[in-house]
Amino acid sequence: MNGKQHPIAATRLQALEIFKSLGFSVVAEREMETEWYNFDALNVAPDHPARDMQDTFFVDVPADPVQGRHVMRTHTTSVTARHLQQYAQSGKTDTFAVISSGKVFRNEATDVTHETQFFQIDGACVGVDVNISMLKGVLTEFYRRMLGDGVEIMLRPSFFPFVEPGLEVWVHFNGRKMEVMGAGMLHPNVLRNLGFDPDKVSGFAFGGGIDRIVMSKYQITDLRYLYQGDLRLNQW
Amino acid sequence: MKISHNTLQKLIVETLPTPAEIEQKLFDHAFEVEEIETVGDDTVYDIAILPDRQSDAGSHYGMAREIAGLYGYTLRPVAAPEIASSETVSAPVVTITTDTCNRYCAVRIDGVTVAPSLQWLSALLESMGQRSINNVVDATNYVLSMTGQPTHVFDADKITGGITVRQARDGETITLLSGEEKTLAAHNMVIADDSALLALAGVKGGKHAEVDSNTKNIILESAHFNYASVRKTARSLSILTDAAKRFENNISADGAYDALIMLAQMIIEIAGGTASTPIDHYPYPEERWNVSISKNRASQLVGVNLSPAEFTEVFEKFHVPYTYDNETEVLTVHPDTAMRYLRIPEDLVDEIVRYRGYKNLVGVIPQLAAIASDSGVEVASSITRSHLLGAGFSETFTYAFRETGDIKMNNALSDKSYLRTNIAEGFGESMEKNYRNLDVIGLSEIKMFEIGNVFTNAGESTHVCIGIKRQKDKGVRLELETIISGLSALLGVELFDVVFTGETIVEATVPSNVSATSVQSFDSGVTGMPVPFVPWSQYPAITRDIAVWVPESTDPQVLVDMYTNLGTGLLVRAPRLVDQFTKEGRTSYAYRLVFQAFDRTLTDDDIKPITDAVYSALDKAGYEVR
Repeated sequence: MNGKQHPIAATRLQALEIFKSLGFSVVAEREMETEWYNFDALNVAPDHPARDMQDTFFVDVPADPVQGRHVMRTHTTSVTARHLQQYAQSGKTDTFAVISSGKVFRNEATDVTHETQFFQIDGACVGVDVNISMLKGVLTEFYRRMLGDGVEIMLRPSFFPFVEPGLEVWVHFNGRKMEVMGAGMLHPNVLRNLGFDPDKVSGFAFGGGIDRIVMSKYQITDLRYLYQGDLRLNQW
Repeated sequence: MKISHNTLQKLIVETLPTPAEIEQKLFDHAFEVEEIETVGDDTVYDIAILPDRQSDAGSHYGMAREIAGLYGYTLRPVAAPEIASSETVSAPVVTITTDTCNRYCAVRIDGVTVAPSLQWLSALLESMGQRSINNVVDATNYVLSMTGQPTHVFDADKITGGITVRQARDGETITLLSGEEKTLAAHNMVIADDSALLALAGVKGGKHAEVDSNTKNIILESAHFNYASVRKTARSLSILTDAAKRFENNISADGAYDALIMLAQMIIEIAGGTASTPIDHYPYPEERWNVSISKNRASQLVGVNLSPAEFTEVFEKFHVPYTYDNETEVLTVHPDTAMRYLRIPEDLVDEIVRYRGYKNLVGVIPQLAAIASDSGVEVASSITRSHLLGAGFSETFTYAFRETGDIKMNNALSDKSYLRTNIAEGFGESMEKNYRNLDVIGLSEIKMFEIGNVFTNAGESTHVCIGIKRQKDKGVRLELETIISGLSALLGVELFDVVFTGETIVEATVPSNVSATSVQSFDSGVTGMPVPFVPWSQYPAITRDIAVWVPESTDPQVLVDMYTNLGTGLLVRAPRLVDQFTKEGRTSYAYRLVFQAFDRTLTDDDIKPITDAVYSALDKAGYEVR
């Protein structure tokens, strides 16, 4: 008899596969990050509330002289940042798209919808003529393949420091409307920080939690079930 | 931010659509409405205003401007506020000795009558969830709600000498309006008179110069304080006020003077009194800026060839001052200083797209070719996972945090403040727990694995941890060794750092230098995962085995159906066959029934009526219970 899948693992791999089929390269990085990749490179100001001690785990290892203190990554956008930077340094100019999915950490009290660890998916696409219509096309395709033709996908304006314009992705699924991703066009400061010339290159980026999709899709009532190692979760 | 529908209507000429329509319009083009509440004959929206829009849209005037722009409506002209000043009332004397106060406007009004608010004012504030205090204090809250500018009122007769805006001295104390006493540090900005502290600047007023029912003469303050300074004070002293939030969001200082005059005019109208000449210290005036973008560049970022009209429409509708050069096709916007959201060319693109609406954008899937090879760790993990699932192991995730380890979190909320150095420790606890739940899960043994990262002084690496727990450990280690060597062969690279915990758990590092640079598919057959998920109870289960003789030809499904029907809601999962043998034309079937409640620990008394009913039904069917 086959073993039973964990819904997060199954869903994140399904997501990676969908993006891979759209031409995204699958990448991965460390979970312990530096402040530079987790915040500074992404245009998150030093006094931004997200950097407060109550949200971010700061790790007790010596700070990097250039990249700052060590943190447990609060989002997988740090993975995207590292790989976009590598690509910028390679000097190539073809349109480049990356996708990753991994564990992220938040230093907060836990309840049925909050955990200290959870999974995100994060991606970006950069090139000379990358635009918002492409962002809409890619994300619409992704959620349709992920959640079925019955899903309604809504994009709406929002604000995140790493993108401009910034937007939220909402899905109407299983009778619920919920925000599933933050997205937008990479902020010129971010492009510059990663080694691109924002006058010549543009890019879209997106990221969000997998857990909410999983909870909605499989109607799991308590987020904490996902990380307790309890096989009663594995009903598949 | 609470916004009243009726108040918006007073600011807009056209009749507004229904609240539900406005909610949808805002959702699509601007803000999320988190709640709509009917209060008397009014409707109150709770609107989540984006951080970069607080300064221009975080008020009734701002929201009216936004809604008028979105619908193409006309704003009602609002007369500029004005007051008559008298030489008989001496103007406040204000000194600023800190560079974190950008502007300080004040006016003195003598001879006011503090009284309960007029009905319309207290009703409006209460509908927005605020408590009516008195006519003077309510006026400040009204002005804040209309303009977004916090103001404050002091009892002038409780002030000794002049007003100074300065940094606090370490250890100075202030009693706030709430009665709470706070000890301050030098990073806190305060409003002081010659003898006492009057307020925490931009955060909260003090008790010392509080307006009460005997107050006759007042000083009104409308100021602008540095957002970082206010934020630091509010956070470090744990005082969350609407005013502090406004300053933290860096509203424009340009609105402070008009708000002061609006407040003074309103107070004179509802509480009487004579005003002094207003004062206005503005040491750090807001700087103006322009933003430009070409039509070509905007079209390229949106992915739509915009006409000049489509390009400039949103700025026209929202009355944002702009110029457009027909020859160069360059748009230059000259924002008001409150329009903090218009800073860079991409902000203008944001305006164009959100005004048109994302739903009206046609999605395009770009033709991409993968450039980099897929991550070795992801490829190896994916192959490992498929192999283990195929070998009957179920996947789990446990927590990355433990009570001990090499690397500590500086600020963990729980006692699990170390990163795990291995998976096996927490995994082993889970395996034991799962083994105790065998009957509830409906398994005869536990086979599980986890793939995840561990953190040691040597660095971070990805491990796989595999465990088997059954009645007897004999042979388990060999089985795990075979699995590991099978995985190595499959990956084409030896798994390394192989470590056994006892006989039943093995852990190894997942190699990232796998020979296959790409997998066929990361998605190893997710299809067919049924919904919905069945939650489980936190209470212990009770198990009963029922063995019964039936004629050899009887389909055992008859028994399963009978047990399921009689099992009531307490029966967990389907009855599981644990023993079966045939003898002399009869078959004995032993099924294990597991009972569990969601709200309590079950006792024998709960189960007895169920088993009695089962035995009686078996008897009636002519089956012999063993």
